[in-house]
Amino acid sequence: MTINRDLVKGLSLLAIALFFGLQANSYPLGTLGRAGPGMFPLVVSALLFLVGSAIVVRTRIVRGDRLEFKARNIALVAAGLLSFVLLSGYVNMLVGLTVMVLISSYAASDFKLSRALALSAVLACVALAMKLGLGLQLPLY
Amino acid sequence: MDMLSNLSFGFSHALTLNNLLFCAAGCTIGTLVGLLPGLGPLATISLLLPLTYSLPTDGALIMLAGIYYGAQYGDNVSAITMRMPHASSIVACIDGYEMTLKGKTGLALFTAGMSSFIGGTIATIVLASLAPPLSQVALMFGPTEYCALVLLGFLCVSLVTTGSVLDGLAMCLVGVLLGLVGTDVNTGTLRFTVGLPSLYDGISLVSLSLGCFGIAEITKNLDKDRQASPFRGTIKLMPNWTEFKRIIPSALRGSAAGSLLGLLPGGGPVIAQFAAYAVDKKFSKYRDEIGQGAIEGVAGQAAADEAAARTSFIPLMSIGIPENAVMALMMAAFIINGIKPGPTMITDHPDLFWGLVASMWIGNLFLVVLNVPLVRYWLTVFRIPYTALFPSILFFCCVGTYSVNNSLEDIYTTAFFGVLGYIFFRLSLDPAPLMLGFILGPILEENFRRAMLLSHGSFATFVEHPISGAILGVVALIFAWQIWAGFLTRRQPDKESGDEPRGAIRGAAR
Repeated sequence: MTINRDLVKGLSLLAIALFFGLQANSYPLGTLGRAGPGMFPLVVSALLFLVGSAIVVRTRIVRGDRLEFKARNIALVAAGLLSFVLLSGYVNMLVGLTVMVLISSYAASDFKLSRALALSAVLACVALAMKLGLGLQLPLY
Repeated sequence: MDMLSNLSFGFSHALTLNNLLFCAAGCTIGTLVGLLPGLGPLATISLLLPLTYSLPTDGALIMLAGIYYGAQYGDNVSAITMRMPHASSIVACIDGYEMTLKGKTGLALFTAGMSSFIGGTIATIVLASLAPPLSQVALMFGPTEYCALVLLGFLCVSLVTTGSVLDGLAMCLVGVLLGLVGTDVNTGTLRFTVGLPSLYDGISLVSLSLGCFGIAEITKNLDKDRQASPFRGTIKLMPNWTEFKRIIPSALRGSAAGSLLGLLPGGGPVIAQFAAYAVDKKFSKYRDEIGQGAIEGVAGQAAADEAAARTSFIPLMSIGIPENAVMALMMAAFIINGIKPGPTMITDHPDLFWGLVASMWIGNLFLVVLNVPLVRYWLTVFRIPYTALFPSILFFCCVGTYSVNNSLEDIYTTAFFGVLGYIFFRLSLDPAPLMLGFILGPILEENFRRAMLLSHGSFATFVEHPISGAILGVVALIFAWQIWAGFLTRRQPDKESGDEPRGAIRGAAR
């Protein structure tokens, strides 16, 4: 099944406009002469809604490209980042770093465990140097 | 001779040992990080921004500027040797890479270094002579003028960075909305924080740019099949006299085009490179060779690149409105370091301004000295396999985000924007306008509110002020022209060949 990329684009923009616009509407709007916190975001969301609608309308006239999406790599990278934060918080950053390198390296087509472990060892040394040399407050251990 | 005395005043500041060191450090680190595949100037600056926090203000600004043009130059080198630009050196891929294929990498790199130096020198003079008078004009600007200028900037950036103006405008508006997240300065209301305390102070700039330009970019590269560089390690650097003679005219043409296009809203290095390339194709004595690895094809664009990178500081430092995404990031970096760019910057901090201008030329010299003889050592960076490189970049993105506030939660934000940036890429939306909108959003809101307050809620104020009225007139004209052009292209769907540069930008942004 092919999905029209421009249609998805327009609909996503409409969703973003609604997300911000509906919240902005719940803040005090004030008057134009004395604008409240909701006024400006509401105006901008309305403009974004217009632009999004124009993009959706355009898909009815111009044939759009097919949407291609590869979920694997971005999912691995995101999972690596999340495990880095969680493990750094609950255990320490050296463990977080190693696990992140292992998970994200898996995204490369030529994954080798030994190389990933060697890389985390190198990065651990770099991190140690940054903590001791540059005085960054990294919770390494 | 006012400018000369100002410049010598600037040199007296830039030539202190500390500032020289900061300039050299900025250039070196900037070039090194800019060489890495997947990291363009935007990601490089935001990655290295935390390094400048502990420096004195003048040193920090000098180092940041060094990082910027170092990254720009490094990007050029990776485009020539690897055909791997990050949307900032697309043109260098054409002739520069052809020269590499012919085994003339060294000559191409020398040409790029030499032309950058020429372009940078000319642009530094333009910067020194134009910024002070422009800031005098900008002192007359009120809130309506600032609103109009921001809108013009949005429109021009949308025109040049993406294929469709609508896409660019949409990204600017999304950026504005993201810039409003956090506590409203006028009333203290929390806006769009979705209950997360870490968003009370707004979205962290470093998180946003490292997410959209670092992490999304890495993943984009991972999706592609990688190819080895045809670069063979041995380079002959120095050109002979006939080759050298060919560099100069083209570099001068490029400098002129770059200096001019760097000034305009929405302008900057990318568009300047295309313009210089087009000029060379039309006027160069060797125009038939361009496209097949001609020296002119490298010299013109490198000079324009470097010239535009410098003159694009003019609107930022004299008006206080950045004209493209990189300058928006620079503006935020200036503010973090305690300096508000704008009309009063030159009179309030003459030592900073003139020191920065002088250091730009010194940095230029550094780049040539550092890179032309030593470029072969830089290129060892490319021997590192991407499998080892990209987890390291990820780690540095994490450390960069963390060290801003020493908070691990900020990395969630970075990861979120990494995923979002990747989705935008798949939807063929360019995140550069988003960055500009993000920085300018709060400025636009503040000036909009102030303008409406002064006019008691009447929109007519924007047209009644002559300067803002004129700017808005230009905005309306561009808009009408775009709609008209849209109608024309729909009538003639096959006529796409004349639109080459913009198509290429679109291709590279993808």
